[in-house]
Amino acid sequence: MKSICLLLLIITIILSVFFGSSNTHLFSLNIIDAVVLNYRLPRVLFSALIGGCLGFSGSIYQLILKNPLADSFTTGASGVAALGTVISLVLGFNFYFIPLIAFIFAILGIAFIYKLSSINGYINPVTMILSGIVLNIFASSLIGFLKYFFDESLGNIIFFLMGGLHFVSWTQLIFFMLFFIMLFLIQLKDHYSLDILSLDEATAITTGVNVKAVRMKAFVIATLLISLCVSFTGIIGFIGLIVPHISRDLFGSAMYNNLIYSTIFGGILLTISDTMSRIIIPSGAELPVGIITSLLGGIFFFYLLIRKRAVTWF
Amino acid sequence: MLYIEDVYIERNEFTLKLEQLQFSDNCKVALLGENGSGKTTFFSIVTGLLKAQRGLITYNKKSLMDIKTHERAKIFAYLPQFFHLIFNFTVFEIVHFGRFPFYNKRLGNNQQKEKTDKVLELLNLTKMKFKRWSELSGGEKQRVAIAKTLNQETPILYLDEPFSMLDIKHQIDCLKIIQCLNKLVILSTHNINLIKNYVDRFIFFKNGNILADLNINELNEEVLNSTYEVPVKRINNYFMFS
Repeated sequence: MKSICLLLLIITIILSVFFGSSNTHLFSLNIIDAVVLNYRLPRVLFSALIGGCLGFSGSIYQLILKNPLADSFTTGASGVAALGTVISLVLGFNFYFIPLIAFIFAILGIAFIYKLSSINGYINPVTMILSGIVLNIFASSLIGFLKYFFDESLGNIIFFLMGGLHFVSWTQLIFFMLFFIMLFLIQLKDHYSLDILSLDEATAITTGVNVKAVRMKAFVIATLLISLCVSFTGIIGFIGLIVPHISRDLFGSAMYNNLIYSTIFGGILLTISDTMSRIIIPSGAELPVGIITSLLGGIFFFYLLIRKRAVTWF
Repeated sequence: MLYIEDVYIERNEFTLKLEQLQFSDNCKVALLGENGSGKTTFFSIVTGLLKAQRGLITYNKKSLMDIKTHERAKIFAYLPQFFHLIFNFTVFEIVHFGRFPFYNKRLGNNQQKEKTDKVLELLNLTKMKFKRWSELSGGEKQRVAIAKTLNQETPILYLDEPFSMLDIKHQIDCLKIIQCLNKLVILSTHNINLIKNYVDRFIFFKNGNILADLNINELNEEVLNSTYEVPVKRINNYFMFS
């Protein structure tokens, strides 16, 4: 089943390469022209990678925060990471420092939310989402303030914050991908401990899991990836929320499967969304991809609240 | 063997004091006392989930503080009063969580699964093996939690009100299973009449102190009366509260 899904992702990637503001015909002679090789292919691969990161981190967040509605967006992590990114842009930091600053902001933000919403290891899901959303609003207000204050130097900040997959170089892409694969494998090794974390704190500890260490490690890995994503593409909402649920519905709750399928489905979903954002406006203009993922995600969010309220909410 | 000496903990205006307690292997112990008398805090202390301000807890003469989390899970298993789980794992998966401490050992994966199947069989859960957590009734959930705890195969079991949601038939079934185990079992309960046929030792808590530590022959109305502060009569060897 895993190979079938992986194949699906690859097919999506290949098809997406042929759609865009200037359509490349499947069988035309200049398939391997410069536009495709230097711009579209890395962009499509990048959207698959970012989508994978978002799905993967969403799966981790939902588990360690014990909340089916948790993801980078609803916990405020991506909002704060965006704030970190904007601040480093404003202060003119070197390109390579931006993800680092975004990470520091995001990890502080999520630690804050965690402390606010947990008492003796029990996390109140309502407080968590509430404080996460407030943190998000707070962060975007600060960003709004910075935007007005530094009006001219940040022309494309709006587009950045709506979520968009911009130009990436092959080098950036490959480094990011290797980094992701490394973190993915490190986290996947812990899948059995992660399963145990779905139990209450007392049971998890007495079952032999060093809860604090496993949780901290997972927090850092998920937040690292989220900050990296945000610093490259801005906030892309809801993928981290939807995708783990789809995987769980289809392939069960065990984290080994959930981590793998969330990554694959996240990749598929963002690749499709990005392709749609490229072709949906006939004139050739591009929609920020965040609009499409948020639309799809919003619908799913309501589905979750209506259909599964009795089962998943607690 | 569990040994406790001079343990003292104070938190949230509640203090628990345990002077000296010794629990030998294979003993079955019931903890009794009104709500908030210290039963759950007792479990938190002996499992190391809460650190006492002072005192000594040892397992086979080894201090609890010197035993790592992973090793502890092979000495005792704990079923808290509010066993809780997020996401819809299957009954098999949940019970199999109990095998976690042995996961690193090169005991083949299939052997581990066989053990889980045996525990499911023992608690009569085999037919709902693939049911999901949210599809279970309260009592079924509790039996699954008990099965998970048993599946850890530890020489000591701590069960905090393990039967609060079970019907009388399943309570008796579980107690019979527990009675036959070659383990030290310490459980808390409010049902003295049911439990007294299955355990050897009764410890009564009152306001964070141990009021009495009795065996079955020493059990009497006065102790129950001062524990629960309700009039107690003994009729046909049953305690009637009125």
